Amino acid sequence: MEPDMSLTIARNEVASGSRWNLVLLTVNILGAIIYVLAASHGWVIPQEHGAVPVSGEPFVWALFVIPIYAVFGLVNVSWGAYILSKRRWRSGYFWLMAAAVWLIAICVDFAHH
Amino acid sequence: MQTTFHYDCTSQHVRWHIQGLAPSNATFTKKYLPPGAQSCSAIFNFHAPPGFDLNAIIAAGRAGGANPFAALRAVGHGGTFDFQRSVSGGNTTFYSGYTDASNIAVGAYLYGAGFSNGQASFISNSFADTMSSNAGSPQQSDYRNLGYDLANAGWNPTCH
Repeated sequence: MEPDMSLTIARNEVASGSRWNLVLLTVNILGAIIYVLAASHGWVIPQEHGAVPVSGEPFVWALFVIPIYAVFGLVNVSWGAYILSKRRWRSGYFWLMAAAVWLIAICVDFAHH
Repeated sequence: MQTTFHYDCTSQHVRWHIQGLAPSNATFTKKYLPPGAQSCSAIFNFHAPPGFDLNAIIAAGRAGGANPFAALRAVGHGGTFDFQRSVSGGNTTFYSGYTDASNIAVGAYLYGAGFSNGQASFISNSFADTMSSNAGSPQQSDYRNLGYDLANAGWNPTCH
């Protein structure tokens, strides 16, 4: 193979990989926003904080968030496994950013119960 | 939907109020029971609103299944079977005397939706242990279990 051609193929692979990383990061950011909005249905009402025991909230919360956890858990574990198996360490930065987004979303959710 | 951020220095938490989802400007009043409350009996005694019907709750659970929006409308804040909250114009009156009836309704709804009592306990206990600032009293699980067991037995409480 010509050196120029192999360089072009390598550049295309990098560009394609970056595009996928951006898509997956964007999907994760959207997912985290949807997660916070969905989870908010189980949040304590500010006026009731500390004054009213929970009743149906755990189930409403669980029904909203468990499918989101399942889908994004699967996506991100697969993404992480791909990064590790192919040693795409640059992609790892995107994965870590997605993990940070989820950590913030979960903190926002848990702070409101 | 209007979103506002502010930093709450007293609790050291960044509180994110999404107005419309968690009403922050509405009034909140706590009372024991409204006029016309009924006394019901089914192993335990509890108060329930007129027309309390366990079969209707089970039917709603069957229809809703694992649909979170159906569960929200039924047993979420101000839902059809959240008897302890009366929401009018964004203002909430909380009737503490109806908390047991609300927990019975949760149990019956989960039975109708096809959840096992073990699944219900797992979700409730995990939620209370890990993140709830309003963790339920032992009565919460007692009455939720009662609702589940009554639904399972096909026994509607008698009220007068």
